[in-house]
Amino acid sequence: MPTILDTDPRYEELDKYIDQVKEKKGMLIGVLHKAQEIFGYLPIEVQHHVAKKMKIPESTVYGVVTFYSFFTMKPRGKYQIKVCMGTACYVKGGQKLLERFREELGVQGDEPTEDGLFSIQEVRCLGACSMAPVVLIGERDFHGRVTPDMIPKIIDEYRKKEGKKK
Amino acid sequence: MSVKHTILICAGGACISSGEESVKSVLEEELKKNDLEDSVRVVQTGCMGSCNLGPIMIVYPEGVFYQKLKPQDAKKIVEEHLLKGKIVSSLLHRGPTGKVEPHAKEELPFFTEQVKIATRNLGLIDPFNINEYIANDGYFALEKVLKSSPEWVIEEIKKSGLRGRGGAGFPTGLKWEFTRKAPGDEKYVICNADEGDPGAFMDRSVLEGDPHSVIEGMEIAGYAIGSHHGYIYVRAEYPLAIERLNNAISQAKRYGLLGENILNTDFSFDIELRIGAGAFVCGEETALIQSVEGLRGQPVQKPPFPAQKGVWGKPTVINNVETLANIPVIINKGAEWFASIGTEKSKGTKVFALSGKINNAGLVEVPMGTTLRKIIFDIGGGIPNGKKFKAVQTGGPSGGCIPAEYLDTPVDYESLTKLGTIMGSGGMVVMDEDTCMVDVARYFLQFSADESCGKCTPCREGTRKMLEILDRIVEGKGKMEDLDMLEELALTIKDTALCGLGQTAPNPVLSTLKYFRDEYEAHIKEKRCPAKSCKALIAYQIDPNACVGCTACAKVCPVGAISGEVRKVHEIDQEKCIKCGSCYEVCKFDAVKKVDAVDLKLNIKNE
Amino acid sequence: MKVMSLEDLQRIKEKFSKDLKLRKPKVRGKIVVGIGRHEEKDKVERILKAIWDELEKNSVNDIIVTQSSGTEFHEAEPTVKVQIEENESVVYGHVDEEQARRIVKEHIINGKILSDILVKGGKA
Repeated sequence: MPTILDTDPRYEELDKYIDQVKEKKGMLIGVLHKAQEIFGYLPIEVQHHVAKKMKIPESTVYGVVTFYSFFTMKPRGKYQIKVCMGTACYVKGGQKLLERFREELGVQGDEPTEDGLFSIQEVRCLGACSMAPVVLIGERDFHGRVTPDMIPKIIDEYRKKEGKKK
Repeated sequence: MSVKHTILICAGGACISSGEESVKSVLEEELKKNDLEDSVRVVQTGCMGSCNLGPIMIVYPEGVFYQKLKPQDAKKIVEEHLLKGKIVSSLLHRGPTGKVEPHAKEELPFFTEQVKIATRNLGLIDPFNINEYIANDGYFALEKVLKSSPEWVIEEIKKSGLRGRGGAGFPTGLKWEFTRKAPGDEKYVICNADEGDPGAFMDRSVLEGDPHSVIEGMEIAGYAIGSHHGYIYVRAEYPLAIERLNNAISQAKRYGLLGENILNTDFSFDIELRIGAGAFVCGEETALIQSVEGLRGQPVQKPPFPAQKGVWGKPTVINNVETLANIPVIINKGAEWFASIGTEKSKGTKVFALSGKINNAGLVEVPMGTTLRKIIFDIGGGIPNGKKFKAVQTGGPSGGCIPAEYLDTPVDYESLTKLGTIMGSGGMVVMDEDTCMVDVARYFLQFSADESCGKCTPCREGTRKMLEILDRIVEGKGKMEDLDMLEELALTIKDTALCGLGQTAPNPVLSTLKYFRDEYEAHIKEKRCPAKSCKALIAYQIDPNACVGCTACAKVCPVGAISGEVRKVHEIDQEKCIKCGSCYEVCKFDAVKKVDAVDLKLNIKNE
Repeated sequence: MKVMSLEDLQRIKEKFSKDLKLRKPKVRGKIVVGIGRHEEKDKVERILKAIWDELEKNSVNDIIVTQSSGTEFHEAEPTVKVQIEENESVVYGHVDEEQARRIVKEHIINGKILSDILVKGGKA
């Protein structure tokens, strides 16, 4: 498990952001969003750093991190495969997509693949119901009307992008 | 050179996910190549509504509606339509009778039967361009309001009969009045854009397609209640909405239509975005307030209501996106005009997100009181593949399922409540004969159980217990007593849970128990799933009379459970079969059948 | 640029509403097939098909064809309303496929009103 050292230069960027929003009230969630954007995840040492810098109890920070599903304390894959589990996607076979992704990548739950490229996440309705079932990879790549047999090809696309053929 | 053609391209969520951006880049390339950049204007608009036809392009002045476009189609449109003046008929929409409809937007019932108020600018203006918003009467309502008294504004909204579009339908004017009258000099306006119901994308479309209407609505609310600060609480799942809102806010500020001394008056109002972090419960107003403050989004006891003690303990009005988008139009056109649309108790229109087993999935806005039949069959175009309608789910995890015999119910707050569901935010998921209603109930309950914030016991423990029972039933291990237990738990949760989400979580179970009890009983007594959907209760079998031995099924089977030689009848080994359904989907001869596992006499031990 | 007054708003509106006006199709007219009762959907479809067919045969593509449920002339349904440019609209009653084709050929193409099936309008 990689840990983030106190001397990690990325803290500087985070501190700069915290200083920027210092004047505003109730910015903890916003700061955690920023921290996750910078570090990729929110290990306990990052949480402690945020608590100290914002003068908020560590328990409050931990409470917020664990409450919201968007925040993660474990690293995620470079490409997050978000399989929509909204109603429309569910009735159109979203569950089958999830199973196939796990089978193809050989992972369970939301753990990342060994090469760190992918992790799978079940997500709440992505609001693209007319394209159901949908899979969102990263922030922007929507795949609509996906069937299980399209999945190997989709995964390959990203592997190719990384120059790592099967 | 003057503009000869205007091309609108839909940049709604569905069109983007079906490749709108690459269509647009080819179009722009081709325009450049043919030196048409000055005579053709390309505008990216918000969601046009007909999401299943995307990507969509409308070419004016002819008004030709091109649909389901691929990048190379853009080249064809440039070469044929723009250069030679010939309509590309292969890219037109085809009606059910096969006839092409070149002016689909004016011709299809999907568009012509709608009345657009909250979505007036969607698919028409460029959401990045404040001038186009102003051109369609934008910010005129704000100007009118600033010349009137706050009391007049509240009175006008009260007279219009507008009720909250986010769920429960509380009269908006009253909410504003309470907040105005609450003691305190610091007050807040919050726009609830935490659209979390699965199957709902109305608010997302409005935020992405017409962000200024929400901003203007919030400013009017702010003026009416005496507030100078607003928050928009948006889901983190909607990055595009966040981007367009941020852009709209800075544009409005640049124009002096937001910020200090708006329109050269004493009124100042500022808006800040707050991004959620993936918790469904934050759509509940008291939880939302906690989250705006940066805390865990757990609901708190009401009263005090937010109108008395809201964010930072100050009086706060919380309105949903669609509610706010209606406000400027009501002010411009008058309360009487608005009140003339809809039914006696539910005024105006409602935006619905149609999805599921329906031909025309998409966004529709219709007058309150329109029947479900009209929405689903006339506008939505009915059920695909000749299947039979079974139910429509409204109101998300807080709502219920309405069966076919109530299709002629007018859609308004009261009628839906009477049927055991709610209007909710406007998600409408259509289900056909292949959908198992027990499984649907289980799906929603799982949702509520997962999303329970854990603060109160009835919701935290009760939904979990109900889920356990439903899990048993879909596996064919249920008992008849389970149904009584389900009902008892459901009613207890309804009475005792802390917040609105907990109290309504049992609705999907109660409504399916009421209308589809026979399906529950079939699962329990006969170990059959009538929709042939529950994995544990079905098996796949090859019909020897239909199988031609094409081997497609054997090739696709992930576990090698299918055997058979080329051009000979294949067979499925039930011991090996994992019921993934791949063979069923791949068979072109309808030879793979779903059957009740009990009829194969292997399967579930029936103790 | 700050917007300081109603006049400023109006100036912007005037300038940009020209663009919005270009986003409406330029068409010559509109045919609306009206029927109220639900069970007669097939009939409407047959009439619509006849109209489309006739329009296509004569390469007319500046006419919009729509349907509407519920008209003011219940007894005369199915009705066909024809609106050409700014002229007063004309309503025909008890229309079948044959009549529908006539409406396209005579009224839409030749501008002649069919007085024998007229329900409303068309004095001129």
